[in-house]
Amino acid sequence: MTDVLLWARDLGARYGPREVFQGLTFELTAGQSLGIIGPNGAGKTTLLRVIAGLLSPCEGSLRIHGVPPEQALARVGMAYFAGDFTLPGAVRACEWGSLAAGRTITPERRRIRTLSRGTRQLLGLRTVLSRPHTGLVVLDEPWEALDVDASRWLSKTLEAKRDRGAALILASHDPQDLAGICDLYLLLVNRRGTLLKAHELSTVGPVTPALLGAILERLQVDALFVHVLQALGEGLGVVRGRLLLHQRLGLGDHAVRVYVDRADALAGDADFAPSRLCVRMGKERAADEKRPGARDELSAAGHASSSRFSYEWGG
Amino acid sequence: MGFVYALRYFYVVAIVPRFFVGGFVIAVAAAAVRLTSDPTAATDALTPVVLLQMFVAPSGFQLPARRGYYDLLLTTGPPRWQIALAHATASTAPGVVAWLSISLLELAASHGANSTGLAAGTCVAVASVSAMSWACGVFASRAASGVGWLLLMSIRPVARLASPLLLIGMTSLTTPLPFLVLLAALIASGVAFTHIVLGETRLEAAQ
Repeated sequence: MTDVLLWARDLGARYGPREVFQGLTFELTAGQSLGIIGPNGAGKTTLLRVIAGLLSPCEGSLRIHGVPPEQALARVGMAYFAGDFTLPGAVRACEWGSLAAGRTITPERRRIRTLSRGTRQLLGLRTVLSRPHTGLVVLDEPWEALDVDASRWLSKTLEAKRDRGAALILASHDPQDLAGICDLYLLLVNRRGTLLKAHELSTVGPVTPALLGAILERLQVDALFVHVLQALGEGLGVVRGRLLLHQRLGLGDHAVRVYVDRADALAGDADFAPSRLCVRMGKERAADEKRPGARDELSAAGHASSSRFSYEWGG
Repeated sequence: MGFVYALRYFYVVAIVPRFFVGGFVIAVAAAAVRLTSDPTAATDALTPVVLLQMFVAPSGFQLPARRGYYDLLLTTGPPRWQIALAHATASTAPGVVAWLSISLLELAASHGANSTGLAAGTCVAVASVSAMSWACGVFASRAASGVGWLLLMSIRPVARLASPLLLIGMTSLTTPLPFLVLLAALIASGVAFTHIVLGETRLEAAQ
């Protein structure tokens, strides 16, 4: 327990009568990174604000270095950023950039509101990450709106911070952003959280209905759609004539539908080895909708497109 | 250190817009011209300063905080009480400096004979307006707070009893009402201060 930087026990938060999440339990040591993933409105931002000491939990407890977050801020050296929309538009970029480290990080003199969204996001990130002696980095959708170079810079900076002993807590609705950075994942779904270690999500080998069932059971979600994609990687070419295997798993009262896409799947043969596995829930907008014909397949499967949640693992 | 950092933060974020500071500068300059020719005109010179303070001091805390504008400050580590103190200081300082400047100009212009700017009534008026306006601004917008003052002063029976503008230049306060107004302003400031120290900072986008 001495190495634990942050721990949460049965953490819950609510806005008035509306419960955001409950029963979250996790801990983080220095140099570890936690990815918080979940669909829009799952409570990721709220959880980060609780960790940053800006909100109080309605139940449970959270401690950083053994004290409540608001008391630990100066001691731990927190870098928190919730997104470009939290930057005051009237402030000049160079002035804002100097607020965290006390030195200029950009010569840009334009006001923040006149910058592009990606530039604002980068400015906010560079500002908080320029703080010396950062022990805890808490970022909400940090890759949002960043271009390739900025994304690469962010990933390298976060890895460098982690290597120097900082703990990272990163939230994203797109788990692909967090791949390779996080040691732990907290899946926030339907007001509950499930903690998964990264290696648990690196399954290589057959994905069987039994494994899918175990995953679904751990996630404890209703209306979860599991979409297993056949590898579309190099060498396999574009999958044509996909066979949609529609399988319904009975998990109590929850209706769970499993979609299996594979080029050579045979009806009834549920033992397959995809290199990529996507878990989607709610009304889904599949990433592969862009493929010709995919939208029709999803429509045929009875989905309305509005939001998506996916998790990928495997080779 | 935390207080100084918080002051700098509020300066950079410009919780008091530059044009309001410009308004005070103009008021002081106009007062200097007026007092040079008529050292007894301090009441007229101070009235715009007190009026301006009604709109400047409520610089706002909860609304910008809920938009995340103060996230960097609130998570950097200064104790919340220092942040609250710095916010109150940054919000009220331009008006207070303008008031003191005009008071000193009056003393200089009258060779120490007149001190309307430092009279008890003026001090109570400036303190009441500054404290009450700042406190209102912590919870509401600048416009709401300013309009509240204007409404208060436009209702004649209320204005006669509690208008801070009528207190300017009064050397002796015969009724306890001004002190009650000041007490109410200080209590409101205490509530606002406590809110900043203990209150939550929800994000509009996350509710």
